[in-house]
Amino acid sequence: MSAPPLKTAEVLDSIAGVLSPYLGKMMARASAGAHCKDLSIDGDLVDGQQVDALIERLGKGLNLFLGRDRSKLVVEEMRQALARLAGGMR
Amino acid sequence: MNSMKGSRLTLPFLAVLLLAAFPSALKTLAPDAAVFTSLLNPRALLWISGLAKLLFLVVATGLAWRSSALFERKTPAHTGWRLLYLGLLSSSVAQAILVTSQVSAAVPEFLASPADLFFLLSYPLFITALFAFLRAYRESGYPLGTAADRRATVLITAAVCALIAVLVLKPLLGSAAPALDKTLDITYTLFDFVLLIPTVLLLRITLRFPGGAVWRIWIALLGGFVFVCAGDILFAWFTGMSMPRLDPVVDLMYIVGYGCLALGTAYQRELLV
Repeated sequence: MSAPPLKTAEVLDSIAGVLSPYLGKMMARASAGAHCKDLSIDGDLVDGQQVDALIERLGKGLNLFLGRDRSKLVVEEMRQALARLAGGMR
Repeated sequence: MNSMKGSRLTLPFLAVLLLAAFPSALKTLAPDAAVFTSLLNPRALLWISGLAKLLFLVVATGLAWRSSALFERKTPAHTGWRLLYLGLLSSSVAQAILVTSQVSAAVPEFLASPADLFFLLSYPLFITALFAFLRAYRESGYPLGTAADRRATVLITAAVCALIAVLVLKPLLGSAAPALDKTLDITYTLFDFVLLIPTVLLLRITLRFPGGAVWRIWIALLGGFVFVCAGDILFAWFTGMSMPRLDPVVDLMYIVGYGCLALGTAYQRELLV
């Protein structure tokens, strides 16, 4: 059974919350939004595949600033934050 | 991750920086103070400023080297950190040669020495490092402004640099300084202007990351380059205008510049591990 879709705005808020300490609030939100646009995520809901693609894109960008080890940790943090979000919606 | 909000490194680093910069700052503000004929005599000042600069450069070199290993190979970030490390290494060697000559001869200035070879070598390394970092930013996919914004930044920076070049280099060319010294001063100044272009571009991008750990790293690193360039340009200007009494200002710029470079590399290292 695939994961239920999540609200796009809440996903962006969760991701921005994880990224803010590294990129600053403004860039965290803007980068998540920009990658959403690139991935054509424009509806109110976002499915699991789209979330994975978004996290993968953000992780690649982070790799260039945080190095491979720290960016892996941050990607994991994003996944956990979204898992909590999905858990909270049930 | 709340631990990223502030850095434990800031206060200790600033304390060391203030301590190292204090004698030059005081000499700038009160050059005839009694302390400069006793405790902080010219030889003591040479030791303090020379060793402080060397210490900051060596710390920055070590940290940049260790950081470069934590970026994936063949990425522009890895290339940038490797080149930055090599540039800092070259500057460290130059500073070590310079401080040895200065302290052993008790003379503050040594133009046209072997140290210049290494200082000059560091510029192409720094410039290519900063262009590699610009590529890294571009590849990150983050919204960093338009190509037109970047072109405008380059044009404005180049215009300002050209204006400063005229102001600084004109008196230098007309001065009685030896030809080799003039050539070196002009070369340093021109390298600085080239270095300032990627520095300003990166600063402009960095200002889009306010409050984050990335912002902290890059403000310190780029601030370091700005102070070093200011030191070189002021040195050339003071030489042209025959104002040796203002040498402590130049020293201050280098101490703060190298201190900022060390702080920036320390922030990056802190973020990586």
